[in-house]
Amino acid sequence: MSVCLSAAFLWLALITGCADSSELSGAVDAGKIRFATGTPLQTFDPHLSDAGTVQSTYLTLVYDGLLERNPDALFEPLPGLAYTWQWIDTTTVEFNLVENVRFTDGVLFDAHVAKANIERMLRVKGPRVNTLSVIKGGEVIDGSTFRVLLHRPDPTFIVNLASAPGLMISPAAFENEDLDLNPVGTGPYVYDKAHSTIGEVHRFVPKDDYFKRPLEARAPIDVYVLPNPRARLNALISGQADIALVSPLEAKPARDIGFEVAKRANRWFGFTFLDRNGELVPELKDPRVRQAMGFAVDRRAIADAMFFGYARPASQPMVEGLGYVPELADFYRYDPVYARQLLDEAGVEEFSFEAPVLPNSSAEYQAVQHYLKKVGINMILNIAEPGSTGALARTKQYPVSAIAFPNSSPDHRHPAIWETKAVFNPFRVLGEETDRLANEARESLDQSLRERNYRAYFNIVVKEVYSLIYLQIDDLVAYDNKKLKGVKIGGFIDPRLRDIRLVNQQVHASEVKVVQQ
Amino acid sequence: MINLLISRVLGLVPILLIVSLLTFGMSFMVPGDVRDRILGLEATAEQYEELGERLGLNDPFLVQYGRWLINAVQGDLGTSSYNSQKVSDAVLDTLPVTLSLTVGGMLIAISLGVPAGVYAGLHRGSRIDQGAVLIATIGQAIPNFWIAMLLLIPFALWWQLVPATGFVSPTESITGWLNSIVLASVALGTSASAALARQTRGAIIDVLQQDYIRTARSKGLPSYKITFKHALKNAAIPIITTIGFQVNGLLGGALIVEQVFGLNGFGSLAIDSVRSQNIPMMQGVVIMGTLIIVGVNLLVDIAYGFVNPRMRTA
Repeated sequence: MSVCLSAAFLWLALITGCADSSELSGAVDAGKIRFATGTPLQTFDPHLSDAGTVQSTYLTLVYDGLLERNPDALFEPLPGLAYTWQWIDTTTVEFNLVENVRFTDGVLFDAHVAKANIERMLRVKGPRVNTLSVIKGGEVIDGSTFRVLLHRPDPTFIVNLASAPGLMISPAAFENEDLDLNPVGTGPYVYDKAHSTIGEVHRFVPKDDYFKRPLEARAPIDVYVLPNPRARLNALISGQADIALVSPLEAKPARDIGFEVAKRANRWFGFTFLDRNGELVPELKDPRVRQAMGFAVDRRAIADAMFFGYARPASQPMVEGLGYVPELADFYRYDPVYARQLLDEAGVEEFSFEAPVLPNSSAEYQAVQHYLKKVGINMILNIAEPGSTGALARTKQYPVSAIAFPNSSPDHRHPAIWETKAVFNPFRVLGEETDRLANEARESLDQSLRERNYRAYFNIVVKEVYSLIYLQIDDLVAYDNKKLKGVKIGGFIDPRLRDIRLVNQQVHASEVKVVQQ
Repeated sequence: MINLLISRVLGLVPILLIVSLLTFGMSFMVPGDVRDRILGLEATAEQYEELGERLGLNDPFLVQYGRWLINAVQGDLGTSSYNSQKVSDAVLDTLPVTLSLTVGGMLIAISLGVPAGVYAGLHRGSRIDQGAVLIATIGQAIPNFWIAMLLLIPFALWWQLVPATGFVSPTESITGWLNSIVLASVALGTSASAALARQTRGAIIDVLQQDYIRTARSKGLPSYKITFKHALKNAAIPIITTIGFQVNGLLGGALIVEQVFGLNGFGSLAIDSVRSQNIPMMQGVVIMGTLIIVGVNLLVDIAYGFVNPRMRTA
């Protein structure tokens, strides 16, 4: 037995001894940016992508839009293929387009191409078309001047145009059957299909003639798909990746080892009440009962124990900006005695309800469950399949939906969550005042009216407990700050790879070519 | 032997039909909808309907299954629900990873388990035998993903002798390939070697009690001849059976171990396709998995025939 074991270890040692240390040290990849993500590419067709998610990471490398998302100010997009824009009237925006920009297939970008893209985006009706369905059509003024006509005034139009549906594809590629796996854009990178394997690794090489910031060289990027967050951390520690999407559980050891962690409060954790009329659980009809669920939970303890500093107690959906109400910041302080008092006032001794939770957040909801139990509320957790949240809401089987919604403009959140006909309002609970406030705000270009309305709106959402927010959670990337600079998280977990550069290595265009070879 | 092969291949047809029908049926019972994954949470009912139409999800179950079956019979396993990636391409891309792990794990299991089992069987009741049984019991009890994590920390993270994640194709670099699978193979093979050692020990003990072994001993044959010519050959049937079972077990175990080592293999594809409700991909994975398992069982049957000629006509 011992002889066999010795032989096995000798065999193992021989094999491991064969390792080419240069391959493992990452030395050969010094000129590359290696990003470990958890989500595989869905499609390279931006008009058909659900690009509210991490898919933006892939798309924004190879495509440009008329405008570009601003990681520092969500509501102030940056110039893209349009270098300036102005409102002609409340329903017309004019864009001045950059000239002499070509797609990777050689097609020249101009106003006709912009118009064709807008029309295609509306025609194919992708997942995000709702955000731009306000568009009536496009109008070509001349080769470099393009107007978009809207059905009605929409203050969010400019912001929405900077998202995926606004990305521009070469019109010659519109009908390509492989467009979803073979992008044809004007972006700063070209997809290297020959060195990519779907679901495993995607390679992007810098576009030599990229129109924007031509003097600043970019490094090639490999995007590795590693669904397991621990495997992503291991890739980072072992030098196989330079930057990785991580959860708080992995961010802490990464930080302790010496990696930099970039964060952005991108999502909230709590409940949305689907059954506010009490059809399934009569007790939940009383707002005092729903409020009690807010006061019963020690948010700070959960944030500290389970999120390691990457989450903060919260009571409202918005982190800052439009719809943020300062006086609601600590509305639901931890006060179990008051929670019990509210339940008594509502005449509720104790009650039970079922909540579907996703496997990756079940531990956090178990903590909530523990606190609710203390005041007499028995929450039964059912583990749901990832991706089934919307479908479960539509089934009307559960009185609540437990999902860590991404933060977003209230203009987007209202029709998805709280509007009377929203997916997450399957019992069609009437919210006359909230619908009125939101609709008025969404159709007004008057910023002060919008701010006033959304403040009133979220006062209702929080105090009447349409949703119960426990925490604001950060999206996180851990990275090697000795190698990379310019790491920022955009909206929706997107680490903005197009803006990341190598430190201590001036990569010139000629060197980039060498690396590509 | 030819008859055996023909009967096994013909038997494959109903197996594949039943498996594909069951998988297709079960995929309809999984909560959730691929349209939620593709369209996100803000889609309208109209978008849902249109996407359902495009993916053929609005048709009755049997129509969907029939359409898939007709294409599959013609060699077309379909495309992913998310993009135009062919299911057969995805399967063929990921299969080398899992087969590498399975073969590596099996080699480790055989090279550790069989000699240990033979030695323990030949020295029944000795301290070495007792030690081997104890180690084998522990080895079977430890989950392979835990062994994977234990191996990963020193070898990949501390000493960085092997990569922590990723697969290198043998066509790119043989040493790179060995490095990328060695820890995962050891993690997979440990438990299998324990099972193999226990089975081999039992088989050897059984054989050693047979009359023909006593006869061989009484004839004064040297012990190595008795062991290798008579005992081991006759103990081979249960050992081969165990190897067959273990290969199937390793394929299943690879699902978890691939996750630990960030290997995008067949198991990862299976998990991802289930999670993302990618039914065509799920079907492709299950069909290919069935083919592999039936293939392994066929190899086991063929091996029986080599060891025992009387079984060639079975």
